[in-house]
Amino acid sequence: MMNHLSQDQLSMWILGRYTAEELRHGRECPLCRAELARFEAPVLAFRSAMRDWSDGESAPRIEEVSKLLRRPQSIFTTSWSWVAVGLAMILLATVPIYKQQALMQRLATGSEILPLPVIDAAADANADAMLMDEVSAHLSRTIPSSMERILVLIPTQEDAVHSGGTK
Amino acid sequence: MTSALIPASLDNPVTEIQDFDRVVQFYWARILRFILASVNDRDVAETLTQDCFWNAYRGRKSFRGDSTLHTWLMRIAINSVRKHLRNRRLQFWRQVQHSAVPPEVIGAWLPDQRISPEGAALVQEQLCAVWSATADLSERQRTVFLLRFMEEMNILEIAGATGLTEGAVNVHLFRAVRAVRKQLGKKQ
Repeated sequence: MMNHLSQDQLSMWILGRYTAEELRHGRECPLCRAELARFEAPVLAFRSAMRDWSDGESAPRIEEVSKLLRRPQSIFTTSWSWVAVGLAMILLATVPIYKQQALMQRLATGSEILPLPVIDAAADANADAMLMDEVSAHLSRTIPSSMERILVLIPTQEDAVHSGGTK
Repeated sequence: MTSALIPASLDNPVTEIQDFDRVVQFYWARILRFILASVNDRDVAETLTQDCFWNAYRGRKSFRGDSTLHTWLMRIAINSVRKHLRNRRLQFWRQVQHSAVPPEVIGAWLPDQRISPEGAALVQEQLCAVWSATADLSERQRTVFLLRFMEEMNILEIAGATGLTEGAVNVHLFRAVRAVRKQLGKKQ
């Protein structure tokens, strides 16, 4: 005799998916039979109760259904909220276009003149000159600026004459 | 109306759909109980059932008989439930479950009121356990579980009603059964 059905095998058994051996075991083994009944009995009770209850409910005629469904609806239903969202998006998209067009129209008619940017020619020329001085100073250096202090310590030819050194 | 008074199925759904009042009479109970078990709210279930039949009535000309009328109506019902649950998620700030079905009320729907008090108590306990176990399932698992075990639809019919493949139905069904068994095991 095979081992007891596993939990998954029991679930499959309930769904009618079993081998011949599993079918036989599920029918003959009292433990597995009890395990299956633990599912089948409540589900059967549930089905019977739901059917008995629903069969007792009277079905209306289709005209009555249509009348029942014509009930007052709240103003802000889901569909209306989507319409509102759509309108808001259209508004957001069209306002900048409208503003741009209005501005272009005013410019074309000359009713609105945009202020021209002020250019200070003297200040610009001064800045250019300063920049050129900096570049020239950099290029005219014989050694890098960081070594200029060390250069002071090295005696020049003139210093050697004053100190009475050899010619 | 009792199930004994109505036939098991309508013969030719394409011609039968023209008599829509008969369709409503025939399928009202099935759609109502499926929606009630899906949304757990009596008022919402009744409104969604009305919506479902009204939508079916308006779209009846598009029904070509590719599936059974039951599957077609169930598909409309599933879409209504899905739409309702999605809206409820979006409107989470609202108190929507005004008429949620309490477990003790479900116990009053016992199929046979002549059973002993002990037996009734046991069945009521079982009913409540299944009710709360299905409520804990995901929307898709609950749908396939209810269609299989409450409506006794086969895998092909469930696939037709839900728009899922047969493989996907089997997977959801297996997970649903496993979850419900686990829940029932805890209660016992």
